[in-house]
Amino acid sequence: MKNEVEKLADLIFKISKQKKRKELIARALIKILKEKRKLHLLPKLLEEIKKRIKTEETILVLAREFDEKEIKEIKEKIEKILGKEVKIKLNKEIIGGFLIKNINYLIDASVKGFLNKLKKHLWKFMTS
Amino acid sequence: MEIYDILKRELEKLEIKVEKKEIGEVLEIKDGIAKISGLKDVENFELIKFERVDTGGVVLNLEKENVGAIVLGDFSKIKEGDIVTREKRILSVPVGEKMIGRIIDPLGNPLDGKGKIEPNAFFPIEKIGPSVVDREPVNSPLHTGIKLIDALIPIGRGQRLVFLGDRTTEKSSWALTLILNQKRETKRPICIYVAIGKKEAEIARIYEMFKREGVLDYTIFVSASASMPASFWYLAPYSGCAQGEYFMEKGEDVLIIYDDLTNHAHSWRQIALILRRPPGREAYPGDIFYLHSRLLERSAKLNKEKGGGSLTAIPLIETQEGDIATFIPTNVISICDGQIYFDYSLYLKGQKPEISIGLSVSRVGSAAQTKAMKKVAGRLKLELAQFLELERFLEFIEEVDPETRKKLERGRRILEVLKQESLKPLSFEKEVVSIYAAVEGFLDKIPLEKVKQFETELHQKIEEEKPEIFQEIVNSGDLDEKILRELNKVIENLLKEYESQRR
Repeated sequence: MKNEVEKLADLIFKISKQKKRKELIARALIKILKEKRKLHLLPKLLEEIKKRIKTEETILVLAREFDEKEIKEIKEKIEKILGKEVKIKLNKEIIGGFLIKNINYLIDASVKGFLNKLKKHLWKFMTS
Repeated sequence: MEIYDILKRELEKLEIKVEKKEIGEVLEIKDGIAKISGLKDVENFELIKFERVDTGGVVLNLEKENVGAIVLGDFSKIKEGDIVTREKRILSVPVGEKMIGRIIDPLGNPLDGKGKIEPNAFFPIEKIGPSVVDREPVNSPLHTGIKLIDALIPIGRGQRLVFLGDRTTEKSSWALTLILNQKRETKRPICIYVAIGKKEAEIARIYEMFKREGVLDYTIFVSASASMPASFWYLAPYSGCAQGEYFMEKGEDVLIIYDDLTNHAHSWRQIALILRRPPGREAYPGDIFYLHSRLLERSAKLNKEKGGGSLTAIPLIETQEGDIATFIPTNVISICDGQIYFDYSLYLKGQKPEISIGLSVSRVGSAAQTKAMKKVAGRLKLELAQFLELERFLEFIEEVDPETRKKLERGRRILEVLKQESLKPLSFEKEVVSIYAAVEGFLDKIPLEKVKQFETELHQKIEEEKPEIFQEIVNSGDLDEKILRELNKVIENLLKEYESQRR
């Protein structure tokens, strides 16, 4: 059973996906909570919404910095393929290539991932 | 140069493919249990892999926001945030003929350093037992090589019989005697010994004994030693059962010994408590009954259409201070078709095997008893019951009438004949002859301390002078008039020798 806060969080999360009038929604929410004397629910609500954002979030990990124009181009193209908003992160550890990560999925096209595969393959070959 | 070529060839084999993987992330890890976020479509009992440390795991808990999994192997190097991938298959173990003679861990990896094992198939660790239509009643005997058990508490192929006893009794050794005895059986079952939570030193000792006695020709040793994590203890009996099912489905007979299920229950309690499942009686989780019933339901006697194989299970349970009415013992007793209770007070009195006849019972085994044994066992039961009652009654009375004294003397000799050392199984035909001599009163004139000697000499004499008696009993499985006449003659001859010695 979902509780009150979870239901509310679901609703707000759904509405806020439509990009327009975000501020208006926030104002309306606070007004209603005030009227109903439920302002104390706000911290919990925030937590629930954060959780939802995290489960939906897709991250593109790149190895080196690009200039803004390039990044914009990459982002647009990948968002078009995935049909989702993508956040970009930098991580030099992956050496090269890219990673697309979501809470449930991973597409590994990084040099690090490849080297790991190579290591495992050779190790198996050497021990057998 | 050569190495370069080999490496090049191997590298060419490697495919560079980018694929979409289903993953999760370790949220927390404690005592071999990992809590993982993500893994959206994972199934219960599915195998997962901790990528960075290359260790497996099994999903046990599916919750709203995370999944709980037990780690199969070293969990000390797993960190928060490690990536976990789905293997997309239910936990299964390699099975097959090549497993015989090997000592393996519950995942089917060899522990004896004799190299990789080529499996014939993979069997799931968890499986529902054969249904009613595939079974038939237990109808052929499994000889244990222990006189008392074969005569009074017979075990049939496909039966489940629990060995109970305090930890000071020798129940493990008696269970091992069963395996030793199968060596000369004509229709030899495949034996599987599952050690759960045993000390490494003890496992090594048993393994050496198996090697020495030539038991490894027909035995699979599944070991989850005390140094392995609780997850291995938990999986060991199911894994051993899967090994047995392979042979059962091929129409062969299998004998499997779970040593012991008390440790198994402890390991499941530990896992369940860390998984935060609500504890019940004695802190065991609610499904502790199902834990053992689903395991023991997998032993069966299959009918002809299914190949006629069988899986006989001997679980061992440790009791505390002789109390068989506690939680786990009563559970397992109610699941099994009989129990044998090893009594510590009898052990101290020097009765071997230290089986309490009053508390032990076999519910289906007598249907499978061999004719010859049935003939002698009927008398034995009666004589023994009368003796035990008399003995209790006359404990404090010194003078008794001659008739009663005769009964007492007979009873003492029968008990003496039933005595036996553990790990020294007796073949079926010898058991029959010994018990026959005792219940027919041939031993009445022999002093009590010479009964054992007489027994061995009788076996020797038959082997030397009339081996056809043993042959005939083995072939027909019966004691007909002709054999009895011959047998009587041999026994009387030997008795005469004894009497002349005394004079």
